[in-house]
Amino acid sequence: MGSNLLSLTFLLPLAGSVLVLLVPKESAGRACRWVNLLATLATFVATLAVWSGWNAAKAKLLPGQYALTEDVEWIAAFGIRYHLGVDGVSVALLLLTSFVSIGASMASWNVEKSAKGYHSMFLLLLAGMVGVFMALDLFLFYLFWEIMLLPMYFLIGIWGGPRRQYASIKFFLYTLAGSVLMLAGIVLIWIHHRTFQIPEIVQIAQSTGLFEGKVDGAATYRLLCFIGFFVAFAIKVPLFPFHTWLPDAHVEAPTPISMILAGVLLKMGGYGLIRMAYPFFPAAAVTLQYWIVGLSLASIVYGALVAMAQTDFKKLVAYSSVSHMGFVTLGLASLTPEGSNGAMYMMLAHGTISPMLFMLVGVIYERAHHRDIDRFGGLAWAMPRYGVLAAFGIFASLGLPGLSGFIAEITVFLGSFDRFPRLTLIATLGMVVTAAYYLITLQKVYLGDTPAVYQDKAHYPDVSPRELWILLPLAAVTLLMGVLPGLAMEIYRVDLEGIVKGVKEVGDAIAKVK
Amino acid sequence: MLNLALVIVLAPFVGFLLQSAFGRRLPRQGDWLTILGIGASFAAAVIVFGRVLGGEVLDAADPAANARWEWMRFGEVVWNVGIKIDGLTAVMLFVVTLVAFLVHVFSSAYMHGDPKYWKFFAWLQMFSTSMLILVLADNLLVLFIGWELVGLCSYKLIGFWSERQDPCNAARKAFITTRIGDLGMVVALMLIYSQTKSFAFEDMFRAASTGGLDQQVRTWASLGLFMAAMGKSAQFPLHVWLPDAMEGPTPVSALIHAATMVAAGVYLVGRTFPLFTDASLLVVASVGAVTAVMAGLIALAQNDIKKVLAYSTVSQLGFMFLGLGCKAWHAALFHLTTHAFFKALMFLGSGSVIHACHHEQDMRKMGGLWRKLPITGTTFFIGVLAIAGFPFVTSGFFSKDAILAGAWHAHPALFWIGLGAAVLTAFYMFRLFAMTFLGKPKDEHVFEHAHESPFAMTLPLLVLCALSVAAGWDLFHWHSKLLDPVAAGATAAGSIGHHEHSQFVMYLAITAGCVGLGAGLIVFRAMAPERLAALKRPFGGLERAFARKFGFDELYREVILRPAYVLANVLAWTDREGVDGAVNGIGRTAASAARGSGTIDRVVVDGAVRGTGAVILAGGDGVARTQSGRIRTYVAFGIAAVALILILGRIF
Repeated sequence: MGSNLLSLTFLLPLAGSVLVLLVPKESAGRACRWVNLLATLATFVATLAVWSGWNAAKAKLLPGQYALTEDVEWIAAFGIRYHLGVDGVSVALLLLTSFVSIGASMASWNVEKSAKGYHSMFLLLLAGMVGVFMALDLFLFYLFWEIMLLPMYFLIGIWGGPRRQYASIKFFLYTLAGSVLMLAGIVLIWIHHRTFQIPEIVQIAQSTGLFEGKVDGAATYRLLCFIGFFVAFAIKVPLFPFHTWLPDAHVEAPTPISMILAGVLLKMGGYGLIRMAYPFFPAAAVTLQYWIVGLSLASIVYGALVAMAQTDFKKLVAYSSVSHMGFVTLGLASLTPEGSNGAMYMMLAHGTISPMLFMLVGVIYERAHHRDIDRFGGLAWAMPRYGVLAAFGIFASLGLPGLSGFIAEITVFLGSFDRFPRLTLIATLGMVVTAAYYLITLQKVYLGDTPAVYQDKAHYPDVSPRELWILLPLAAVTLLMGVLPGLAMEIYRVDLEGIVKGVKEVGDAIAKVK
Repeated sequence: MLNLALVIVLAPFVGFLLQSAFGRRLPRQGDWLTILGIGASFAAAVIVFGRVLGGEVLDAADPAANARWEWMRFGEVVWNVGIKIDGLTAVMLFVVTLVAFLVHVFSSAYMHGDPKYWKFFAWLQMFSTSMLILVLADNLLVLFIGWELVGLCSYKLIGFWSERQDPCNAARKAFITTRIGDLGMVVALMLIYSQTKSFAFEDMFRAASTGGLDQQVRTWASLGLFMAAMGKSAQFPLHVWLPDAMEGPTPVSALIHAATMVAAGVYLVGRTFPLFTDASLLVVASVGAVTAVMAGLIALAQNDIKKVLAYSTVSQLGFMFLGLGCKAWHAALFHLTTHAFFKALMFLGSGSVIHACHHEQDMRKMGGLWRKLPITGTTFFIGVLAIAGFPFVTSGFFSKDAILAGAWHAHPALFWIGLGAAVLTAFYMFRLFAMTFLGKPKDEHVFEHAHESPFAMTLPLLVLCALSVAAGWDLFHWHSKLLDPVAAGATAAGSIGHHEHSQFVMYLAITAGCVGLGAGLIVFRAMAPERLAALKRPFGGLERAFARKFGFDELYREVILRPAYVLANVLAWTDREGVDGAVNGIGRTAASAARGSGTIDRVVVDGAVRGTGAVILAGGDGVARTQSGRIRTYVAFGIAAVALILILGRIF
């Protein structure tokens, strides 16, 4: 296994991004999308290689160690290193990222407006995303985090819907506000410990605690710093009340970007919590656990209720994301093996189901040029294959057993009940509300009479082969993850349980002392 | 035997897959394929039934009857999927596969010519599969999976004609109402798992009997399970979906009412019986008794043949829960079995009637159909006798008598309610029969065109008719041989009572059935219509209340649905104007602040950056340079914030 595999994984899309810019203008549209697709596929292959490389290496690793590491001095004056590495958690998310991106790349097929710029941005975004999941140096991490932010800003702001400017600036500011809080934390850590290396920081955090002996009132520092990191990631998740950028961004973003946004970008938040916020500040996380649980519950129930009131199909799916991602923070806050594994499973399940739903919305938007739930009807009869896929996506999202969402929900429930029995009961209400709004939507859009408009085969053809090949792999993974959850869970389980165990031991001990 | 169990559940599943993929293109749209699938399943179930009856399963832990596979793993805890066969499973497998098989055969004639014929059979297969998963599960989690899949299939089949709005509404109502009940199941899962770290029934019962699950947890967990059962088995106050579910094709109603969905709730409580405490059993019994009477009263005033049958199911399920709650475990599951046969018989019979009358379901337009439909009429009559508990020859008599005996010993007050419900049952069932099959035809047009159904429809009726009688006899001592060992296991946990047979109760039960039938005969057959109308007049208000189903639908609409919608809309408004409004407000303030004090801003920012923020400059400046002017301001703003924090960090 080449030792530069991880670098290759983010350099591939980066190279693709540059290559797109070199394409001569006259053949831009067609050539760019091929470059995009090939680069994305290549990235997928690279993540598969990372997976197998990690598999081969993991037996020899000690707990908390990373595989396939690349660690080179970069800016020596500040101790900044070019430090990449993966564990099971990152491998799972890398696979998700590149997998979802293939679908998104295919969904970008008919982008016409300045195709060169679009595809270049798309690949730059991909590079940033895979980079985030591999960086072990906080500075590098931050760099990838911001690299990811810019293309997203432009992809929404230029290729988005009518209110794209508002949505993109809002997205940018929200994320930037979070980034700044995180940056402040990073800088504080650097000032007092002179390191940007994540493994090193985790070690300090779990032996003495960060800032201990460096400043007076270290516990307060840790608490504030945790809040900084937490809010930064909670915005990405997004957790109530930091979620309002999401519906706007989703509604305005073009379909493939919505797929990436829901499928991957939201997972950055969960990843950040798992990789940084919790392990860096275990005691603070335990101290604030009821706040976190409260916000998670609010996301789950409030998100579902607000989704019920939407008439814009895409906005509905966006709010359902808020509701589902609440399970991630809830499961994680429980610090139980079931809860945390369930939280991670929710990221993967939501990461495939929600792109599928956004694609489904995109399919009909492309034909009808509107997304008003009340104006649709009987699409399942006008477009039978599309109807079946839509029903599949909707039932997957409402947590039907046999599909991945169920595994995620039930494991989070069982895990969080262990630690927060009464509060978890509130979360179960989400089950009913979710079923209600999805079934109402299913009925309004796909069942009942088909208005004459939608019976016009010329304007409302059934899903094309390209659309089918975007949707089918997502559906297949959803089904596979629902029937054989062990396959995906075993990728990250041991490493995640290690991280969470560390957080729980230290956190509970310190919280108890206090 | 485990291989047979796999055949039982996989045969219809493979049928579902093949039928969904190729059904449309096969000859006869693949109905034979699915009948083959469920037929194989039935054959295997018969063998299992015979072998368990022959004493092949030694005890609950017999490795020949238990299998589990690792599914997931969390830390030290392993979650399994597994199957388990015991006497109760064997009985359920037999009933489910047999009724499902007959429903498949019946549908091949009944659904003939439907544009989605192939799809109907595919979902029938999946429905059977889901129910069989539920029955074969060796732990609560797998049972829950089957449980939810049953919910999905019922959604698909109740809403089978979803080009129209009514079936869609009915299907949605069924799914959501039962899902409210499912919350109870989730709570039970959480409670039990948090105490025992296992879902397996064996572990659960062991913990219950050794005190690993304390009394309080058992009470709440069992109430949770009962709540789920209330949803699926349509018990008060979650019964509202079942009558609406009549929008589905009639064979589906037969399957739902006899063998799958509603049976699931009773099976669940029967299966997890050792968890129940006296407190939770009292709830079960009371809900059962109330439901039995309430549904009986509503059934009295319905004119749609399927609606009457639907409410009679709700009422009979109430009987079963009354039995369970009174620790008459045998009796309740016995009644589940006998009811499955005679209710399937009557639903398919009503299907035959509806088919004959060209999809007329209103009994006020029927009458005198016995002459036209001799087989349907005769078998239906046997069904009516069975559900009324006609003494000694029908199965319903034995099972209902046993439940009443149990109630007599446990809660005399509930016994009298149950007895009242038994009278009602006989009365309204005779009403149905008289309105449909006896007297003079009320609508000549309907009557003229009525014709006996084809053999594929009458054959299932004949088979079910035979079983409605024979299930009451203790052939091969199946009752004691299959159910007793399971009950013994439950008794060890201290739950199931023993009652000597009470002559007194039997006489009362016989009287109840005969009084109901006799009264029905007088009122609906002998009495002139004008006298009947005169008799009913003083009770007009009551009748309207029954006909309007006591207004539960309206109540729920006003008290739950509307407020939920209002809440959703209020929250959506808050989200837009409040939460997001705050965000926009902050954005505007910040922007104007930045514009207003631009100069100072730049000086401060630059100074701060030069002074302390070299690190950030390396990254941040690069970012800033690529930005448009507006964004640049914000980046600068961000950096200023960091600088501020840095300075504060240094000071303190």
